[in-house]
Amino acid sequence: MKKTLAILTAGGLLMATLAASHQGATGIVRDRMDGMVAMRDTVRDLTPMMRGRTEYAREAVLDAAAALERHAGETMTALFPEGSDDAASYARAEIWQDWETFEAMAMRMEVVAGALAEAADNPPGSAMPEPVDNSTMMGGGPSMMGGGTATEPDPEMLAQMPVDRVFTVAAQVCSACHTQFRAARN
Amino acid sequence: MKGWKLSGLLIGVVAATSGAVILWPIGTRPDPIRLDGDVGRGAYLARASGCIACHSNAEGGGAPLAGGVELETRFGTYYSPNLTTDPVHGIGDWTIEDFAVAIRQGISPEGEPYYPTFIYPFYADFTDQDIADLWAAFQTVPAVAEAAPDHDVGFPFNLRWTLKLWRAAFLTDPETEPVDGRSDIWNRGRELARGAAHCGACHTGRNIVGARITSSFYAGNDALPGGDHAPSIRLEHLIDRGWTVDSLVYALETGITPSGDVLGGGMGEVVQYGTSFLTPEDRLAIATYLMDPEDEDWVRE
Repeated sequence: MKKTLAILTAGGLLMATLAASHQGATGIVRDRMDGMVAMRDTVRDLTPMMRGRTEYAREAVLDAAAALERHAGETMTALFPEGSDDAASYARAEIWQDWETFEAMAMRMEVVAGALAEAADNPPGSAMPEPVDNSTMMGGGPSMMGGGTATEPDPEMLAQMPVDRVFTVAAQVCSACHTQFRAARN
Repeated sequence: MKGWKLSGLLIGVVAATSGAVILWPIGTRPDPIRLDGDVGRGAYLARASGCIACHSNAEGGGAPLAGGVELETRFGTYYSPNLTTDPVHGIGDWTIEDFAVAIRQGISPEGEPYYPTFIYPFYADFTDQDIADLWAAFQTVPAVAEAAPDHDVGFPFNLRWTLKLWRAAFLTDPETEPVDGRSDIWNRGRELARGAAHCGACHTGRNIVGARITSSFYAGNDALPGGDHAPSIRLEHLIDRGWTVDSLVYALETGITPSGDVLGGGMGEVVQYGTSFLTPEDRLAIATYLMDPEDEDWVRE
């Protein structure tokens, strides 16, 4: 009886530990979750400043940009070896079916994070470098009738944009990747 | 012998009933629409309504509005149609009245009811001017001469006439009109959320035949096509998860949530192809409406 109780207790403790550790993730899955969480917290902490709700601090932007850059690019792709989609993972199998797209998004994140640091000299509300083309609404060539928002100002263009707009571009890269490659949460 | 007679009778009744349903006319033809459409306003409405998100297979490298987005449901696999100006594979040979009936009533130019995977019930209150604007915007979309795949749907859902029964049982008014005594911005939020932006398409629970359940209004849906999941957006649950009007506005623009996470899945698409293109005023309107629900029943399940 005592033995049964001990086993049950141990089992309960184990379950609790697993639950506390990002749904039981271990190894490389856990490592990349930690990376994502670090990026998430960085975005959370920077958001009020990017929205002009707290005083602008260039150094904080540089730190945040460096953190995002550090977790993107090859650092990120190296944490997604083929077959690393165990039960705890939110990674969709499409990552490995369309590795090129996933890799391009991880690289794009690195580039945009670098540009965020460059743009730290342009506080929120600064002027845009040139008129933003808003004609693409319907998704076509000119984009109002087609296409999404995750398309592509180049790094030089980004570096001249107001920092909050670059921050938004970074979020669009996150969102595009999560849309395509992250499984839904319950 | 008696059993034979009975089953003969039953078969006769079923045949007669389904025959009647097959012939049952649906929809009403509008008066000719001669209003001038505004391309900019139409494109804006198309963004708000999700036309581009659902009818562009961006992941598959498809052209804007050429269709082919796969929707896996328990009834089968649906593919969004080609809405480009191609006369054969798209809507290039339609009239504006055909377009109006398709959008507002969910009926094809051939008189066939569309599956409710097309969320026309949310568009039922679009005005003739809305239709003219949308129509003008769709005329600017380059033709793509490629057919979207046919729906792959099993019996009995492959019988289009069964949708007439569905319509009779479940088609309801979207109720987007302004409510007296509410602010303009709240009423605009109501118009968008219950209409064009069709929040309830994913965030309201659905019954066994895929119709939205009134009592599950905005209460979330765990069984979305493709295994996706939409959380409850009832006030109580939004508050529990740390949302405010202000953070909702920002999420609809950027996808960034209060925790710093960035939205993915279906909502990532909604933001990327839709709400990020809206005006700040319209995003504020949607957030204002969601955080100030009109019916106490929605506040808690």
